Amino acid sequence: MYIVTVDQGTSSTKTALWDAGGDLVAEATASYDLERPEPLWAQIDAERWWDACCSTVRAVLAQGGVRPGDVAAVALDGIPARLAGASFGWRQPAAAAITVLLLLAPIGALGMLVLGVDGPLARGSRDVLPAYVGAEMRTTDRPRSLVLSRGADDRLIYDLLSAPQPQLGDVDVAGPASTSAVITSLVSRLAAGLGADEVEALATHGIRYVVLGDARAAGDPLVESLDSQPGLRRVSARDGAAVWQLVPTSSRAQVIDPPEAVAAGTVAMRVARAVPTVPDDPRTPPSVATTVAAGVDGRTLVLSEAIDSRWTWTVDGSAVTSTSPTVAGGDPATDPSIQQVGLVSSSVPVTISFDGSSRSTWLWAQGAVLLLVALLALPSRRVEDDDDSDAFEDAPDAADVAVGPDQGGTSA
Amino acid sequence: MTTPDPAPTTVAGLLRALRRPAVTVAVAAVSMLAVVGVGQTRVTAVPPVDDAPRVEPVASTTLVCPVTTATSALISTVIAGVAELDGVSTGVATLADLTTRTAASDPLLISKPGQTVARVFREKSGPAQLARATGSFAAGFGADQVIRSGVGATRGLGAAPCSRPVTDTWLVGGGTTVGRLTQVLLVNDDDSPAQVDLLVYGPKGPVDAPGGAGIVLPASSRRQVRLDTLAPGLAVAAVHVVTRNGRVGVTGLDQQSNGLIPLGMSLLPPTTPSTTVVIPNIPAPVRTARLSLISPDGDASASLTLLTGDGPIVPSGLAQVVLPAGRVVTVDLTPALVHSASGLRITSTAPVAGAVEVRTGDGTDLKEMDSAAGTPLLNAPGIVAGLRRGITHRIDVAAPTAQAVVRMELYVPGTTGAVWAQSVTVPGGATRRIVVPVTTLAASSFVVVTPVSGGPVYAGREVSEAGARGPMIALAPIYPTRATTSVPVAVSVPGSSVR
Repeated sequence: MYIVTVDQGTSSTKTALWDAGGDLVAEATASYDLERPEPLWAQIDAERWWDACCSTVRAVLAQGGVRPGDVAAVALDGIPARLAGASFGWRQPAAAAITVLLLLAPIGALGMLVLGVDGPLARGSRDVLPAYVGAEMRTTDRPRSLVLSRGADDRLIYDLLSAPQPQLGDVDVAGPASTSAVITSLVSRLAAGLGADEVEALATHGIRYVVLGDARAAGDPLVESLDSQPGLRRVSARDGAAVWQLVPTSSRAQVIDPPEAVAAGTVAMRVARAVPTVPDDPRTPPSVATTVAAGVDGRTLVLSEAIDSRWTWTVDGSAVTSTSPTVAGGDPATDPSIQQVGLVSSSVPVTISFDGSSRSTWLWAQGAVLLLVALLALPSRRVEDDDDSDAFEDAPDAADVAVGPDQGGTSA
Repeated sequence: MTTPDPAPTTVAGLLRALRRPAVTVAVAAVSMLAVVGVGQTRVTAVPPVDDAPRVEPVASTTLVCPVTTATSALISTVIAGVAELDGVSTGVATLADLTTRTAASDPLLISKPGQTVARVFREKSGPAQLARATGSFAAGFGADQVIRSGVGATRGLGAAPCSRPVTDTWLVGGGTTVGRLTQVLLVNDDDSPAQVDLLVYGPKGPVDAPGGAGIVLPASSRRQVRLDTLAPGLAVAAVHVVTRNGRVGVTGLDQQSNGLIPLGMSLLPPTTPSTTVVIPNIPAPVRTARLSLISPDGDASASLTLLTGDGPIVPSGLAQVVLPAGRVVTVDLTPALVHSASGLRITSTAPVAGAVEVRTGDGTDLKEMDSAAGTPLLNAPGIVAGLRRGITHRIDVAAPTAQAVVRMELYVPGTTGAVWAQSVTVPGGATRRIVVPVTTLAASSFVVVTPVSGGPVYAGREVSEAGARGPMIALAPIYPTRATTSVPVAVSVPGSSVR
């Protein structure tokens, strides 16, 4: 009862014959060279492997004087172990799934490239506003734009844009919903075409353009309502989008004169003058450093930014606290979405700035947490691996000793 | 041999536990979920909103009256009034010259309900008129324009309500053949310039009329554009008025004569294309009646139904009218209209705009014409101001689909409440024609047409003045007042503009 073992290697085939007690009876080696037709190429004719296998098996049987019928088993190197390792478990479906994902990723990317993508990837590059509106929003007036769209249940959805191109993450820096209550009310009354003072109030909120993305061709009631609003002027219609400009002066920072008493039957004119902001990235909160020219008594400097303790106002060199204007008969009684201070009639220097460092701190803290999480998620060194590495270190030794004394005796 | 730690409660135990890959992954996942969760709570939640749109009274109404044309023979009158309806109590209404603010003359003022004010233009044309009402007066406010000439080649009568300025509308009818003068009256009531395109269509389709492109109207100005200078030789025309900037009030003035013999005059009201067009006020008897239809967007197939006093009639041969895209198609309705006055319903596979031109005057009578165009649905009270004795005022109410009830009331200044009221039941598919018994000598009475119940109704009016040389007629739609409007629920959704 004998066992033949065959180790089909890279440069030679090593075959051994063992008896039932596990003692080596004979061994043979047939070596061959890899063909290297090109640098970094390696190839071999499979017939040479087969010939080497047959010749070494015949050689060990001849050396040991054993008849082929006495060989109980033939063992081929590594294959039993690999077959054992290949027993079906969770790894195979997982590997298949990963393979499918790896194949789908480039195909999907190609599909996105050809068909175009919607959603986050396209954000930031989409032209929401006509170019001239965007250009005006970059001037020192920094006016805002109101983008309307229709939602389910006849709801009107609006997005108040402070910068020309909205980007991913703008939602995170939007103020709390409570500050937008007054603007929400103004927008719904504007869309209804009530014809009261909505347009002037929106101008006080620094809004200069109203954009309706899905304007229908004729007989659109929303378009008719907006067309009928005094103080709203249609400026263009492009690709089904309609744009209206607010005729009253509107700017992110502006000086508004107190309303004049007027005779019955005439309309009180809202008198406002834009105050230039410091040229800056339109995505940042605006700052003002200018001298407001002389005007009338009782005027106010209005900044169309939600009231917040991080704003610093100085008028004529001394710090002042801005307040929310009161809303006549409104609920809530004040409008926290804008802030104002009263100004004297003479010319005064004014600075307004915003301290956004607390947000930066929060973002850095978030980044630190993410880094920690990434570190934790890295694969750690396993204790059991020590044994595995020992086994690997032993392996070359075992291969070295497998070289038999009669390796030259085999026929090629 | 040391005893193993019973539980990894110490820091060392925790660290040892963290060395296990499964635990590390779990801790990373929990940390990630915590970060995402904090981010989620910081996202602005959509605020709770009212469930349904509210209905609120409008705060102001602005109407533009472009027709102030006058010559030695031609008189234009613009009348505005506030009807004494329920809920109309306080406010201010004015009728003012449309000029720049610096040159504004004193406006005519209405300070209590029931009043009317009028501007009459004789000998010389005046500036366009701007009628504006604020407060609750907006709910009862109406303004009309009438043009009349009793003698000469311009003899005729025309009437049209003042209308809200728009950005996109149509005028259907008129023509540019010899002897016919159709003008488009455009008014820009804003403080900034408006730019208007007039796109002309004829029987053979769109007409190349470069003169109609980019017409600039300075702030607070009126402009009269002769259609024959844009596209001469059209037997029938349709004009698409579309603004590039701003908005305009639009009315057409159509005059026709054969040398010195007048053939009539009419005002063309603006109309909007729709798949269902109702023209409620086609009078009878008439000499001829011609329907002009245009389907601007694409080929359409329209079916016509006459809404007579006895119910709906499909005129023979007119069940299907083919409308090639962009062509003005005319249909002779004369044979179908021999019996009685009626309304007309046009249903089409694509939006169409239409108007009926009627001509009167046989034998020794002088000829007169007028046009009735597609009328908006009367979903609120319609107010006609400036009725007077000596002229026959008829109100036509059409209920194209289902039976409807309307109430008509006549108000006279100085009298509390309606001096005459009638409830009219209009059967489905029929038109009712009511003569309003006006008693005042001055043009100061109001008639108010209010839909009460039932299906949709459309209303128009006929004005006819008996003359020694034959009657003069004018047809005009009755527009609903915008007393109330639905205020939609608005929701602030930051980032919605990029979706």
